Amino acid sequence: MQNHKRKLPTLFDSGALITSAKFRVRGKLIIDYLVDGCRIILSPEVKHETIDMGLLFDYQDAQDLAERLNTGSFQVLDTAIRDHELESALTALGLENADCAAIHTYKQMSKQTKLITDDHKLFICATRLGLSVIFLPDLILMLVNKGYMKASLATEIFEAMQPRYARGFIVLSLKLLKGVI
Amino acid sequence: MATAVSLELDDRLQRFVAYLQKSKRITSREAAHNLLKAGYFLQVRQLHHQYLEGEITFRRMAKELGLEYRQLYGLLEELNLPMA
Repeated sequence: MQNHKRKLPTLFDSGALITSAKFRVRGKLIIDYLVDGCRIILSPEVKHETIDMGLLFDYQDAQDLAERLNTGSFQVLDTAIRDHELESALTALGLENADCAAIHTYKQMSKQTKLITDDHKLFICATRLGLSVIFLPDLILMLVNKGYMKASLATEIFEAMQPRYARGFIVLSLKLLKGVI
Repeated sequence: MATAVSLELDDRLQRFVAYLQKSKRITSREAAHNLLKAGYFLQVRQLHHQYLEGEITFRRMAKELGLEYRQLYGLLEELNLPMA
């Protein structure tokens, strides 16, 4: 749908990436719909957590992600250069190494990039730092609003991914999608 | 992979294990195992609550449980606990 549009640059965190590689809608993984509208970028740390370790533990989603990586659906960046002042502040906030890497990596990317995470603490820290960060269901909404995805498909995606979200989370997404709130 | 450990129980735990043995008709080994397992899952749920409240990151939760990120994602799936 509307392939002529410029794809949205997105830096994916591990949880959101795994969720998008777990569920199928209309016979396709959610990640396959996302690549239609997003330029998906991964830090080396996220690749390690999702693909490398996922393959080691024999998870099907890791195999699916590895296939897509090999066919060029994602881009894996080089290790980000770390700002030591920022690193010590993030560590003091309780962020782990790969959490910090997500923030350092994001800061070296274009301002149009969205950080996609389902981790509340990382979301809060990134927001405080002025990063443009959204949850995975909100990325789906954004793709509908920008004309990359039809609302009917988004509804099916929300219903498919519902098991990975707390009660009310997807209900809100569906209401926002319908425009009733 | 199962690992055997030997441990000393204090008086209260000994009494509780003895009670479990008798009431559930299980061996002391099974009782101790069940107790450890219950403690583990209680810890998982407490950390998950902290995670969902935004007190700790998912990676911190994984570290606290001695798991890799992908293993913790799998554990939450098994327990039907949400990611967000």
